[in-house]
Amino acid sequence: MGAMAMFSILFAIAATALLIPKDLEDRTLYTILSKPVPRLDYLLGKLVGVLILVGVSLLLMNGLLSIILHFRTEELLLIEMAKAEAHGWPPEHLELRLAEVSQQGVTWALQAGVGAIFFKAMVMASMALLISTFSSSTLFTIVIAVVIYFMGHFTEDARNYWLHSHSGGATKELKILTQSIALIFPDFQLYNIIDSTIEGKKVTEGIFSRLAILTLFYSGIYSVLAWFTFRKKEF
Amino acid sequence: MRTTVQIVVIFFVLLSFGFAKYRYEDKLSRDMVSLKLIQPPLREGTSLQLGQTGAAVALGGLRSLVAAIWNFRAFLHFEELDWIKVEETYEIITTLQPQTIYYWDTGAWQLHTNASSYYKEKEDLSPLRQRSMRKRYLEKGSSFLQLGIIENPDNWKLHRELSRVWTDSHKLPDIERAMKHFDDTLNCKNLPEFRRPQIQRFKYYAMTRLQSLHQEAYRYGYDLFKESTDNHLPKLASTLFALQNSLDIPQNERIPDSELFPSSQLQLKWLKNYIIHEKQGYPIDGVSLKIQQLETSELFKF
Repeated sequence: MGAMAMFSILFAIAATALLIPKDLEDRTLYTILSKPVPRLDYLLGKLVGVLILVGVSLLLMNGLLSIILHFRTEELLLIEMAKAEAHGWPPEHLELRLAEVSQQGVTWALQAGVGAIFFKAMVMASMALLISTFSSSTLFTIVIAVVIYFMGHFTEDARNYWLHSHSGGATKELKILTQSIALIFPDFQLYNIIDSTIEGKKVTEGIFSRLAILTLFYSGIYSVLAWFTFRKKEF
Repeated sequence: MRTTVQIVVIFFVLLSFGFAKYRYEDKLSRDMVSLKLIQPPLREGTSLQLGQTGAAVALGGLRSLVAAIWNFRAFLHFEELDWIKVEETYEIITTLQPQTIYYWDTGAWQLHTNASSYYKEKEDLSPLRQRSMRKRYLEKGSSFLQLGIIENPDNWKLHRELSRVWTDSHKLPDIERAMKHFDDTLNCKNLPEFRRPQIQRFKYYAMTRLQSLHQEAYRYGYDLFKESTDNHLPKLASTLFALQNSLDIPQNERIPDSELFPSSQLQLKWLKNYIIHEKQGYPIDGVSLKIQQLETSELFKF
């Protein structure tokens, strides 16, 4: 799952960062924009393409993971049953052990974890698209996106410091800094549910849909802002 | 110039939208922490302790990986018998993964068993210093488990571990203290029902080791014995036998030997095995005498 998360983020950033420069290099961009294609449609089309690619690759990896995990879980269940028979475990004990093993197998929680990986990649892809609309090079887009990705993991700390810390020694500048980080950057810690989903902790529909709303919120804003910078850009 | 203006506009738009989203994110984050879906924020100062690794930890999803690596590091400190570093390392590990019981359990074990035994056998220390250091690390291990319980209040295994620490005859047993932990284990919502009788038996065995609790222990053990035939075990039967003698229970109120033990041969075998553990503080009143009687009657059979 960790590899899936890492791959999807890297792929989302790199693929999106390459979109516009590649179209410019191939002169495809001129052909498209000379036609009555709204620039927002062009950007959204590109973004959706990357998201489909990330989504399909995640589905494939998830399928492979689920198959392997299913067989491994079945194998462990058989071992536990054999152990129970050999040691004469009471049925309740065996039931509990089987439930513990099954909980770490292929579950809906695991699928929700994969969903959260996709959401995170979606936010990163739309952010990389926004950066690429005003950046002068692909490398710049990738570096800035990676920096923002790191910053996004501090957002929670910054927000907690701002809203819940009662330490009186904080300087005014530090307060402004933490507030700015909490307000500007997305909170990527919210998407880090992989560990708990592997352990079989239940992701409620409410939590999952709230994550989905937050993802749409970010992707929407970044896409609109990308259009704002791209709408009158001259090539 | 145009790009600069655009960046400034983007900055202000993001800032304005930030005001719309931060409460939502804060509420969602707190809900997810309470559901144990995400880890709580790192304790103040932990990032400093982590040093450069802090950057990796910031990746969030890598917290478990960093904790696993630090767990290897803790093992190296254990091999070097550097207990201060072992303790510090497990503090960091459990800050990274407070909901992983394994780390609380292993960290506490390093302190209350390994470090404590190390000082017990360290010959260049005076006996007073040995005992003081042994006690210190035992307390450290116990406190570590208590911290784990604060993070995971519903986890019965941590409560049980604490009761084990304070009843272990190879450490410095404190039965009164262990009683509280046995009760906490039994009051845990998540304690599987099939485990309950076992914990109750362990609590009973611990009670029998303390003279002041003999009366209470007898009532408790009596109820356990009568409650289920699953409790008709050698140690439970033998302790009840000894307690009946120790408390001088009237003959008509006693559980007769024929009910306590399946047969006189097994009674002899169970009592012989039981008396070996005399040094652990279990009551042995009338056990030696009974063994003699049974051995004599066995001889007459031949």
